[in-house]
Amino acid sequence: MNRLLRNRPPHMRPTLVPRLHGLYQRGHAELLGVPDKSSDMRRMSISSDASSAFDNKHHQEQMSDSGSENEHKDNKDLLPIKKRRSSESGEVETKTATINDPPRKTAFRMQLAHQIASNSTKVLKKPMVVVRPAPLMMMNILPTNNLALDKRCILQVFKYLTPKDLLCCALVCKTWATFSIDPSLWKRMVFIRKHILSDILKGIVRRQPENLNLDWCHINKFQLPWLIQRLNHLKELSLVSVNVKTAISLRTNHSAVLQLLDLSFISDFNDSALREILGPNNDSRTGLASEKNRFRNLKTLKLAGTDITDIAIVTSHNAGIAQLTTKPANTVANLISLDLSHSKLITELSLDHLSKCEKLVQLDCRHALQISTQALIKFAAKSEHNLQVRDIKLVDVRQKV
Amino acid sequence: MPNIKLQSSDGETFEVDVEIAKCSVTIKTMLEDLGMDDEEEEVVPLPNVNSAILRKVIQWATYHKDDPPPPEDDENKEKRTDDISSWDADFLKVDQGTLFELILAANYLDIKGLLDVTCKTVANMIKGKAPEEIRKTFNIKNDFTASKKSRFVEENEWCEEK
Repeated sequence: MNRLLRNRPPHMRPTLVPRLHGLYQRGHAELLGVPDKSSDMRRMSISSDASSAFDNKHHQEQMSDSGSENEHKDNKDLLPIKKRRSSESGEVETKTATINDPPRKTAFRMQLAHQIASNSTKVLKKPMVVVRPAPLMMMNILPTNNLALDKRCILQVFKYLTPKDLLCCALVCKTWATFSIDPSLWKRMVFIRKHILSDILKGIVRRQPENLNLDWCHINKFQLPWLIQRLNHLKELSLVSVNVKTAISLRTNHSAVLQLLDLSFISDFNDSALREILGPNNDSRTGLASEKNRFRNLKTLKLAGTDITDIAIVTSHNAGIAQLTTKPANTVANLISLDLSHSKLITELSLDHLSKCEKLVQLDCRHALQISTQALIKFAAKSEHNLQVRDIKLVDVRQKV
Repeated sequence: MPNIKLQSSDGETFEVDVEIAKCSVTIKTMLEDLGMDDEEEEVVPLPNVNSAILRKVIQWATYHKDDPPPPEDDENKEKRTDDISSWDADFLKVDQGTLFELILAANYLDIKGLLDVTCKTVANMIKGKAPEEIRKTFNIKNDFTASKKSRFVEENEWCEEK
């Protein structure tokens, strides 16, 4: 830290110090070293403290002596630093904005990056290619004589081919390769009991499915958020019996289009996991429209065979089923279908909560041991949707004869 | 039975039974939207279809005019391609260019049955063939470099496993 500062020209210091300080405070120190380099880590944290002390001192100096900046200006007339002072906190926020600034900024960032890299034993890996979905528009309306290269023809034909045949077609030529990953051919992608590798993730993103089935897959908690963030058209997601940690990683999901979420038979999936996923958003990153966007359009939720309960009325904070039926959860207004079959812990108390879901027309409580058919009949009678109970414990809309 | 005149891109007119013309959802909606009177001699221009193809399309539609409507597409089901009727198979013994033009016409006119059967025919020409054979069949030039090709194969190996 100090070494770094010494290397800078003196007029840069007021700008650098608050930034560096902020960077370390935000916990980027963990990027700098790995556990076996604990001495480095310690040095880092010490220097960060030192810098903060230095920082404060410097600010005080600046505040008491307002001439210091002018001094700099006199010395170097290309000084780009503007100062803004916020009166309440007394903190000084410095901002740089002139034309000769960017190169210097870049140089500083480079230096910082080098420092970070040299302190880390981890190999920085650069991705070979950026993973992008297939282009939506093709400029391939060029008049070709060969209709076999015409998108309108070939896409229609490709709809009749299996994935294996499509792979073969992709190797025919570049044009066909582009056609072969067209999202219209891959609306539904199923990977059951697969070990999800990065090639598969890339392949999924390129194909932009609307319906993705990852039941029983080995997919970890880093892969899933990476994937979901990149699938803007995903409407249905099935995660039957994946690792519970993977399921919880959905909490970073802000998908507004997702309509169906299947979390059935995930072992150890309990109230807190459900709260993590559907509950209020703790993510404070800017630009993410907090709770409003969380599963705004979720219509079907499947929680069969999980450990969720209806404890909400006993404890003050919302959990379990009550979680779903209390604002600000979007599920109150939108949920159409809920699958609670095979859940051991749900009792009839939940039904009272569920009657708050205005649009709920399907409720599967089959093999839910603590819910009686009588209670479900009562539940169905209360609803305004003309519901019936069939197959012992399945509530759905009465079919018109 | 009222008739309707269809005009191809090269100016030839074909007189067809309205019921047969309505095989095409495009023509059907057009007629419904315009509120066609039976009295009037109206000509429906079809600028995307030439006379040779339109003749074929009308021939197909005439043969299939009493077919029950096809079922809704099930996206989730793998489509069969081996269920082409023998009449259709004979009907589609044409050169490749015509076949593709029929696909385009069926797509434009929105005739699901015809689109279905033409696409299946082409799909059968692709199925189970190696890339090189496909290139030969459709007269396509290979513009892949060997390294690009091998990378593509590597990245998409998972497709094969299914």
